[in-house]
Amino acid sequence: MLELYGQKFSSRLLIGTARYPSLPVMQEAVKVSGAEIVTVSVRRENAGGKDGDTFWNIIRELGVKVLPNTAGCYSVEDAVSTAELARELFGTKWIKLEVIGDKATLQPDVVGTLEATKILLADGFEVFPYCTEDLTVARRLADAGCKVVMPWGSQIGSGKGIIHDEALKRIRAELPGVALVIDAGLGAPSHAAKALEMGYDAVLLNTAVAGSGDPVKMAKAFAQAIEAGRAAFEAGMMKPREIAQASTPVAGTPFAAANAKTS
Amino acid sequence: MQKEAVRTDADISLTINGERKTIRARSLRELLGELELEGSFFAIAVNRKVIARERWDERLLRDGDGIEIVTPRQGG
Repeated sequence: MLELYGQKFSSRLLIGTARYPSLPVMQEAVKVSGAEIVTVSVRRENAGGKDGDTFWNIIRELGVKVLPNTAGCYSVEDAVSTAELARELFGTKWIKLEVIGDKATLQPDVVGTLEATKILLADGFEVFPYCTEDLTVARRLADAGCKVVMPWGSQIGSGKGIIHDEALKRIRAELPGVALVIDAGLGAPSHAAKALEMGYDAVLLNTAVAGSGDPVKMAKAFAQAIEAGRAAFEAGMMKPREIAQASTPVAGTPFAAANAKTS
Repeated sequence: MQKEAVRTDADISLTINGERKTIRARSLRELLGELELEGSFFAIAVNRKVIARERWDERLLRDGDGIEIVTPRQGG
């Protein structure tokens, strides 16, 4: 079972709710994915006030746990204020913390993320910080009290998958007591399988499903890939070798010469 | 030194979701009515401080206040 801040979940897929062709497609994709946790945001209400109701009613019907985000925040102050609004709105201590450092790459400002994390943890939040592949930052987030750390696979919405394999493997090896979730940049189900094979506890993705040709079919594909990746990790994969090792025994090969080597 | 704004029946100027508006409302609940926001799910911050729903009748608005009114939305 996946454990996040003391709560247990069967699914290792956290799924986003944005960028689907329609709300009904989003609803169906979430159902089919088996995800028990969805990310949501808080946004200004400028147009009569009903859109939030419509969306929130769909989410409540799904019966999933919400993980609000601080998407679009470029400062510690904005991220903390947004988190406080999210706590009030959704009635949850959970916050996916994004403090963004660059408009083009949308990469985390890791210094700001660490600062905001400490403020929010002290205020009773359970923080899911979005960070890079930097080991020292991941370690500092864990040392500050995060029970979950979420390094990126690659840039948000890029679909490139996991591009810093060695660094992410190092984080996994160095932080065994923390739930690690690869968040951002995944595109194909094989990327998610790879994340789980690496020993990561879960993945968080949005565009990979919402932006695919058929989000409902893709949601199921991801669910299957995540299950496969986790099973592979638990089974223990073979270690790669530099040279070949025959799988079929050599002894008894027909037509072999009398004095042929049998190794 | 700035005089503390005294609440009278006059309109006040607020920044609401980034826009300057002239408002008659006295409380946050009245403000939602004046803005004709009909939904049920809002969170409000005044000058970056979240005001819980239970206090929407008692927190009086002051000239120059900055208000954020947010609702649940899609997010990744």
